Amino acid sequence: MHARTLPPRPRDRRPAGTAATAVLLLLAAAGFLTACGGGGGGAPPIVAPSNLTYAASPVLYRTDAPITPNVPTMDGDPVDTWTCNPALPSGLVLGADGTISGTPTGPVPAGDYEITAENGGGLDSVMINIEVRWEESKSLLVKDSLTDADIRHFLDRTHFGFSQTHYDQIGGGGFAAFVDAMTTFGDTSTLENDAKNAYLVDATNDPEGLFPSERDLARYYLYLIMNNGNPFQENLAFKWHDHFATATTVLGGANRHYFIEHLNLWRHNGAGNLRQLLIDMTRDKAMLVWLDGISNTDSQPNENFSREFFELFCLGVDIEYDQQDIVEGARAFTGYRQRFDSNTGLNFIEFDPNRHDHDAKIVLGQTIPAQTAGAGETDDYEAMVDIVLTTNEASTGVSRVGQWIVRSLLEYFCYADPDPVVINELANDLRDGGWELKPVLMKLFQSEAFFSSKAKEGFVKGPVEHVVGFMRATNLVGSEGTIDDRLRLMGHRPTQPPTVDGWPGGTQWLSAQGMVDRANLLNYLTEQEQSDQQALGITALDLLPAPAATSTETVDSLAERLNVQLSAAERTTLVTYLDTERDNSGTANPDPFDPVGDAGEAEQRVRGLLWILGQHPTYQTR
Amino acid sequence: MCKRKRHLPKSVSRRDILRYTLAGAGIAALGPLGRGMIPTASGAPLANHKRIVSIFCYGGYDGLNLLVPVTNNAYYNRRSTIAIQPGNALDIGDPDYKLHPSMTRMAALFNAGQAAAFRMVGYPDRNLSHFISQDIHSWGVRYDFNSLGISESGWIARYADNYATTPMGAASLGLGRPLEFEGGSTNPFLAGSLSSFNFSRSSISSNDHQHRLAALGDVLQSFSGDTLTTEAKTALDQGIVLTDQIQTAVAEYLDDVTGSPFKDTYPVNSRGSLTTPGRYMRDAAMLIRGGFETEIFMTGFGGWDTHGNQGNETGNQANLIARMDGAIGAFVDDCIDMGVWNDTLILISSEFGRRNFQNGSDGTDHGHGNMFFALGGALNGGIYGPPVTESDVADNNWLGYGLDYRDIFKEAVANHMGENAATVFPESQDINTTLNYV
Repeated sequence: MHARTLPPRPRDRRPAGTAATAVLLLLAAAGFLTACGGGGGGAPPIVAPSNLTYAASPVLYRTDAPITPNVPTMDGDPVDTWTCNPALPSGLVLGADGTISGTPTGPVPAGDYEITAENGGGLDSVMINIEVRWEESKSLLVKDSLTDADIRHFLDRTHFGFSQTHYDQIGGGGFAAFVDAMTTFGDTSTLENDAKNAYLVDATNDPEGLFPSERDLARYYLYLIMNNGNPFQENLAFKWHDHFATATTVLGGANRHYFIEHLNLWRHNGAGNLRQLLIDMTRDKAMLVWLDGISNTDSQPNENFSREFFELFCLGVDIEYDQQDIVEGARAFTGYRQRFDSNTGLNFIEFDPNRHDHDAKIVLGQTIPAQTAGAGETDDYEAMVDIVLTTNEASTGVSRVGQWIVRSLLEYFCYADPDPVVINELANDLRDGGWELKPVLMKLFQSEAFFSSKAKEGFVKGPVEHVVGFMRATNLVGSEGTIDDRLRLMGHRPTQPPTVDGWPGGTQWLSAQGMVDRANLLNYLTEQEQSDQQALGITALDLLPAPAATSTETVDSLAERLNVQLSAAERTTLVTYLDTERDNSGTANPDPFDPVGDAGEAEQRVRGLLWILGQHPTYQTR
Repeated sequence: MCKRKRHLPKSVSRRDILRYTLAGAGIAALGPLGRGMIPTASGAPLANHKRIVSIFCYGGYDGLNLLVPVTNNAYYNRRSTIAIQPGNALDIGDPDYKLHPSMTRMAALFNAGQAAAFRMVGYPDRNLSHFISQDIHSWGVRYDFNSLGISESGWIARYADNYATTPMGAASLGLGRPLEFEGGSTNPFLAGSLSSFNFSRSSISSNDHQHRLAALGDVLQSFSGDTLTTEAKTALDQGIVLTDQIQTAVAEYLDDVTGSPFKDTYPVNSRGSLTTPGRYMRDAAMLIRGGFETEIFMTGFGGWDTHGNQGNETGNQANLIARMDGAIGAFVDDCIDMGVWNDTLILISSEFGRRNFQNGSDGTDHGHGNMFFALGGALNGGIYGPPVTESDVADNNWLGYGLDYRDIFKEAVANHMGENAATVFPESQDINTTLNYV
């Protein structure tokens, strides 16, 4: 830095682009005259910078790409030095010509930066406002405004697809209020009673609905999924049903009733407290049967539950734990047994201290103290959950359970391969918030990350999401019984995940036969159920944007409703489809779509259109 | 490691090799499908066409109760109620090893010199997780792909990309798209049940169905999307193109077997319908009968995770074995009848073996080393791999890694299929064994 003989520089802080030009010019000129001491006759005087301004301010930058260079303009002679106070956000540089460029490396809150240009004649400075956010896919800041496409994306991910009711609710009360409401689960006992009466109760043989078959339970659950006025509650529960996968296949007549309580664990508390959810999960009756908890005893340990507690439910494969932790964990998870009540004909679960291992266990480096037999001992299940919840990643101090659960939620609702930045921020929120899930879910669903282009790359819909979404969007409903039969054959029967790892999911659903199965289920809803639907007053023509909608309006409207993206050529094909009749000889003849004049024919064509849209490649993803 | 929601590696896009046009009444023409790209359905089993049928037993079967070490005292000492007694096991011509009594068809194949058993099968750096261990078997790679210079992919995907690039070259039956088929550029055939692999036309006229199917076909033909939706489109394409051919093959098979001696030998359940293994194996036979050019069939059955009430000569695992053995036996009958048994090699594997000792629930927890099996009309029968010693059972929790599972698969690729196994199983192994079983 060369020595200066300048007067105190002007402390005029002004925003870029706004100018008190005349004043500054005068000040700068005065500085120059003072500095040169009036010794005229030599080199021409250096003209100080003035009117300094930048092309853009305020500016919002992202971390994933070089910024558009922010170029200064000013009057005066060439500038010797450029300075910035405070220093520019990391990754941005102030070039020799005053241009700000580079790629920011991390988020910085919005703030003022004073840029000063200086030469022998004097200086000028300007304030610009810079904010750096993570690239959208990593940013958990609230997304400022949502487009119509954003709302449809949100419903696709959280509500089994579009429904007019929920779409209108968002438009009416605002998005934040909607997300708050949907993550608050109210009393659903009326819905559950309806489902119970429909599928569990046999008035003659089983008035209480305590002896359901596997089929009854699947249909009971499907009824809840299809009819809950808050589809998010069921969508989240179905996600937990996949994460903590448990199936009715191991249960029998006397204990299948456990599964109602099991489903309600996820349905009622899915957005509740994670710690409590994990504790309840370890003692869940269906889980105790499914992973052999009821036969894991002090004298004869069984590692089945302990292994999956670490591997699938809480931490991820080989994260922090080893085989010895599984053995010690299995010793802690002892004591519950199943018994039979001959009065009710039902099994029940009880804690039997004699089956519990009373000795101390060391799990993940923490000790569960020994207990005295016969001294009112309690189970160690809660202690196990608390130990696993205090296990952190050494390098970051972030909770491992938080990371695992958040990753699982992100990979279902948001995108594959989430960045550690996002995982860790939400995992810290989860722990710091006392393991409450609701605030974390609310933050996620309102975030820039949730609406980022990475998030919109899509997940493959499983058959459940595919068929439930279709029914919710079109009102073309079918019976739980038939849908359950089809879902079972397609390998996606609710209540029966194939393994404790849940459904395989992803591209594994995209088989040739899987697609034919989807076509056939759509045929069931669009064709086979047509007369039953019409008896309920449901027609496909009700979906038209107007009673006399044209073929083009109809295609556009139904594609939008199903969140199907059509190219121009595809759109033309489908408009032509609506405007064509195939005669008895199989010849396609032009015949304009006429929902008013020939409603019967138009109804059939719209149903055919829905069959096609439901198979569109973009409808296979959500 | 995240939960296995599998995605294609970013660099990979499935080659879109199915193209068709829709003429007149729907899917009449396959259009410009090039020869070799058309799924071959010649209506008769292909002559001199080698194939592998890989059967994976999900859950980890207890190999010590399948190939029973009947002279190993430690085995009986550590399994007080679940061991298979020597007098009940099936003789296969070896004084020290016999088969579980439910393996009657396989025992007959051993005694005909058409079956091989492999002892102490595993892989380096064992993992007792079902899902990790299954992935390792699916990949055919234990460690990482980067150092091998290939993208993450299953062994069948690599085989198909190198040696069976047509749409029917590799087929998954009843499993969706298992990891074995992920990551390649060839479209495998993925079917759940051939008899239901057809479009429903209920409550709609044939003309209307053809009308909508033609429009769907036109939409797909002009569709262009990202990786995921393109993969969906490919599956949709295959569904449309293949249903008619598959239904023809199913009908011809059923017509063929009418009155034939092997007709009803696929095992049925108590309701009289085919068991799951029976259906999958019969579907494989139907594809062979239809003349499809499939080189690798993969299927599998679950339920082998016998932590509790495993049973012994009878019981849960015995029932699983019986269903598998019966389905395989019926399939072998079909292969013999079709004249393809010498060209067919069946491989039976599972993610890991179980503990040497029974747990408190009369079951067995996860272990490592296991017993695998191979069956075929032209293989060299016998028992391969290191013997199971007293100390292997007495001193350890589980059987060790004495034979790399990939040596079994490599010889199937090299000696049976006649292809270069190194392209399919490129990773070096800690243990290398020349078996010459085929």
